[in-house]
Amino acid sequence: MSGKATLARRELRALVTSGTPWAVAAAFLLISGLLFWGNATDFASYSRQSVADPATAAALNTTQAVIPPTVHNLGVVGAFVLPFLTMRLIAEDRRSGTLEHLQTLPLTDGGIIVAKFAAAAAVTAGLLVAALTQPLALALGAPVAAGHVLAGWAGAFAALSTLAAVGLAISALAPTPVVAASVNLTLNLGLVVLDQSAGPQASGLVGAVASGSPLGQLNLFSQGVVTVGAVAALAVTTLLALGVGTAALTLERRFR
Amino acid sequence: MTPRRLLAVALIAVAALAALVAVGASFGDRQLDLSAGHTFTLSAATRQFLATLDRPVTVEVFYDRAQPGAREVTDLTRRFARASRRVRVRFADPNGARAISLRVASGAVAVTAGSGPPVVVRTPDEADLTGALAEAVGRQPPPVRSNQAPSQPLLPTPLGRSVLLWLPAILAPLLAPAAGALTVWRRRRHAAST
Repeated sequence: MSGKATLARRELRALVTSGTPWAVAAAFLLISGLLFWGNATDFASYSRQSVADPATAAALNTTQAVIPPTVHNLGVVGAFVLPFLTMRLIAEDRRSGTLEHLQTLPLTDGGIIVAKFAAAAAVTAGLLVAALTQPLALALGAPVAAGHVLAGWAGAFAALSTLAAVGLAISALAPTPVVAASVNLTLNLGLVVLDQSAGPQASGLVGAVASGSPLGQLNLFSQGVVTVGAVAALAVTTLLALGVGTAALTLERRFR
Repeated sequence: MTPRRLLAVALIAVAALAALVAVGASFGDRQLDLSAGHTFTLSAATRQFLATLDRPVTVEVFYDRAQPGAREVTDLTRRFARASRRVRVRFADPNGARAISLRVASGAVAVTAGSGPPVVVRTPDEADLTGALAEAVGRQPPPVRSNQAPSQPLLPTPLGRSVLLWLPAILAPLLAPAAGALTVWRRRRHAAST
């Protein structure tokens, strides 16, 4: 356990002392922040226009109007920036030849994968903590339901961690970081397109993939609802991705 | 890792996954409603009415999955079933024999208590469905008002309006590369000194 913790700390240090996560954080916060600003100012304009009509004004709630699209945007923007964070996790070690050294450490392949995932999840958590400036700014203009924000951010963390686990698995399978990023970006782009185009009423394979994907699961969290099914689905996907990453390292060690 | 240990780890992983899938399938619709106004929870009046149901009631949902509003009505009926053991929900084919015999199309919900006549409602909300249940069991429908989020429009001051842009969309993204540059510089200085 301490071996995993040591490696996770080392990975986290390596991540934060390279420029990549800071560039990722800047892009993530800039794009999601601008989208938030667009949603919030639109709703503020609508609120101002509706003041004259008490019936319409009575139905307006800032949390319900702004937080769901904000949380959804965190997921979509995260899907595009996370591959740049996860691409190097294993593929860079493979490219530079340090993977063999890593595998001589007193750690199982699963331990290596878990440690790298923990580092990526910690950076993801940092991104989302910084993005809390969005509901904070909103709270200066109207009351914001803290529970709803908590559910949304917890969901965003779970969904982005799942995407990070998938990115890690791809990094473990790819020969170089560039290949890992390309494959991961293509996959995430597909998920985003599916999420945007399928809609809640989609059925069949498209509907199943759209609603079962991390972004599909995030929709419920963004409404302020945490369901056992969504948590279990994200946990299963994360474990499967970590399993694939571990299997890739084990097979590589055996056939080296 | 020996092949035997590898097999054991793989079996444990498969068992853990199977357990998670089973939990998801069995309790998948159990939820924690943290939404503003608890709009995904039945109102107190409906819950009180459901608690006093004294006989089984069947709610048949005739909805095409592709029809707009299907998900909302499906979620609503499931909430009713979760709130009372006496409510049983059945998802029926909107083009099947039962739908034809009831003369309902997609978008209808039929509520039946025992061998009594079905009460049909179309695209029901919480109050409609509670009313249909009450009619089916021969009781007065309770006054139901669905949970709603409080009226909280966003009316920021000019300063608040600029904070909406500056804090999350300019200040936070600017601080990230600044903190990164500081971290990398400190790391390099530490490496140079050692």
